[in-house]
Amino acid sequence: MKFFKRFSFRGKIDKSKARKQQFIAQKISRRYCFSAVSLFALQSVVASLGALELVIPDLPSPIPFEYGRAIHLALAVLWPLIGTMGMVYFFTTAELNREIYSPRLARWQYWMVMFFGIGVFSTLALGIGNGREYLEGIPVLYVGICISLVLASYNLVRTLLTDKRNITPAAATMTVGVIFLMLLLLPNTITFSNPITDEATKFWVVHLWEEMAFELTSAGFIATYFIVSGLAPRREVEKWLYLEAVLAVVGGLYGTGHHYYWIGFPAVWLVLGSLVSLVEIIPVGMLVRMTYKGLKSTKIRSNREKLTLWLLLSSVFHHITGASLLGLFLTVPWINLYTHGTYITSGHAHLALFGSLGFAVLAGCYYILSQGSEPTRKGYKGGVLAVILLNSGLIIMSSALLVAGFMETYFWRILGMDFMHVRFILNPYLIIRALGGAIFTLGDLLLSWRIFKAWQATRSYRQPKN
Amino acid sequence: MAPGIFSLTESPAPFKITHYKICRTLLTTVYYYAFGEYYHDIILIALEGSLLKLRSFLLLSILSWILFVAITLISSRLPSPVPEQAEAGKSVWQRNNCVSCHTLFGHGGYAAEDLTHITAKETSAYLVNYLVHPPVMRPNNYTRHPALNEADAENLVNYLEFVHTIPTLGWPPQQEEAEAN
Ligand code: HEM
Ligand code: HEM
Ligand SMILES: [Fe+2]
Repeated sequence: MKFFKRFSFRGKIDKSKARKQQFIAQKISRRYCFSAVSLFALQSVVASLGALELVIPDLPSPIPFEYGRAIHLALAVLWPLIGTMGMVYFFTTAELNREIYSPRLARWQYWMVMFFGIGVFSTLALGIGNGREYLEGIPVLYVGICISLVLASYNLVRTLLTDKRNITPAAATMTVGVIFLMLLLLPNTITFSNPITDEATKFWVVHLWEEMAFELTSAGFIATYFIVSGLAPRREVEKWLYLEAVLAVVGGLYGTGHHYYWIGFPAVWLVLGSLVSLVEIIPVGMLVRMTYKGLKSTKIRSNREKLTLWLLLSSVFHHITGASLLGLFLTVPWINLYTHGTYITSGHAHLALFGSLGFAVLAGCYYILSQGSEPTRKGYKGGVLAVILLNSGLIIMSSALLVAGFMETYFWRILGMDFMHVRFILNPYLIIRALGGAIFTLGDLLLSWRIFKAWQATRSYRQPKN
Repeated sequence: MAPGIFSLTESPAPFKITHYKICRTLLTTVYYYAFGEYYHDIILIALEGSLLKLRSFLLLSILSWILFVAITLISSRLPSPVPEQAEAGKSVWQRNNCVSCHTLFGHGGYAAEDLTHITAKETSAYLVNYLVHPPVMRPNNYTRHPALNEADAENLVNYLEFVHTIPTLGWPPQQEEAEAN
């Protein structure tokens, strides 16, 4: 079968007999991915309501704006996490060509992260929270998510140690990424009375999850995907991976400085943050180069792979533009002094968080959930349409935010006009943002539906025999 | 070469001129003139760094992480300790999710004014009154600003007064001008 061919290894650990079964870990990873996609669908609905609330006065809403926004942010942080957990298991087994240390732990981990994640959303819906942006849930729920990440780290490390001589760079990079996710969340379960420690540790999730830990896991996924599907030779992919990982870690860590500028930290962070942010760009370039090499080398065979690649390419596009170039622009301290705290940040946040990370996680989730099936022609077209809608919705939404942000910067920060007065001037752009959001939501629901169909078609496809 | 941090590849690849090789030749020449006999070490690090092994990756990650945590904690020292009432105010701020609409230090929602230095603009009596008897928020016709009780409002304003004392390196910009005028 085609499936087995794709997973027969050509490379260093070529001791594969054609397998008669799928790994249990890969089966478990399906539920992570399925949950991630469902939460993503929920997110755009919540977000659209929030966007409407900002432009329609006195709009009645079951959940007040301040908690709705908190749910939107909690979803933005947690669905990529859940998707990533699934992808790490899937691609680690594919890369190492053996089962993970404990499938049972992976199941426990799933239930923990879902329980505490849903706990965050539902307590926020009830108006119970801790009011730290992006981490608005009450701290004890994040302890649960941390434990879930501890289980993941333990499981992955034991998996690697089972065969010490065959620790491949891609598998190691993903494992280190997951360990960092755990380490970075940990301080956020503590309540600090010092407001600026609070502010700083928050960015260990907002910045370091996205720009370091997920960067490591994504590099691992893409490397494995290319190696395993035979799109690029193993040697070519592995050559630079550790260097890329080191740059991502060092650049990511000290690049956090670009969020430390005005929170009461010493001025040395202005220099450190802006210089090291330049280093952050290098691994992005290397990731893009790796992706490009993989794309160039072979003809893409199936519609399934094509759809995965459309999603992946969207991610690469936004990673270069909305995340890296725009991010670098905002990192210049003289610019940031004026743009900080305006809608420009929001434009960058949507382009970067969804554009680069969100699309990458969706690509992986689609790939995993459709394993063993091939979309019908109609299904493929629907998928492509969804990608187009998502991209145009995102670009309309973020451009509107950027324009609003530049006007806000000029009128409020440079001319020093009254804030509320400037807010009224921005209203038309917020309406355009809501329209872009509607297009985005359409694309989101359509893609989730396609992925759901793929999930359904492959549900009974393989039952592990043991 | 012993398996140290960096080691050379011995790859007998067929001869082919690639961009990589051209760059390598150019860089080698530049480095030779710049660093003399040490040029080879530098190239080892720069070009063959791709062979950075797992061990060095882990080592560098752990060291950078520890150093980063340490300097973040050192940097977050406050000019004066948080007074008790301000600490209570901080928890009022968090319980009511004020950050969804307002920013502190420029971080938060965009629906309403930044509050980092609000206590320099308004008196605390005005602020407490605003929170206890909240007005209708423009452009709404009915929706009022969320309300707090007297004690919470006082603690909160105390917290905002404390936040105002934290130096923010000249941000926000128009504030400086306002103070200079
Ligand atoms: C995948 C990559 C990235 C993601 C997911 C991402 C995400 C975000 C998010 C969510 C924020 C908003 C934080 C807030 O609300 O306070 C933000 C702000 C920021 N990002 Fe990024 N970002 C990425 C890449 C970059 C890069 C590569 C740079 C620069 C080299 C950068 C520079 C900045 C700066 C300077 C801000 C602060 C803006 C301000 O508050 O004034 N970002 N980013
Ligand atoms: C239907 C699509 C979406 C709409 C209409 C939308 C709308 C909104 C709204 C209204 C806010 C609050 C802004 C404010 O305080 O004024 C917001 C913030 C935010 N959203 Fe979305 N959103 C959408 C999709 C997404 C997605 C898919 C992600 C990421 C996965 C995301 C990540 C964020 C982030 C990180 C912020 C905080 C930005 C900041 O503080 O700078 N959004 N969004
Ligand atoms: Fe950042």
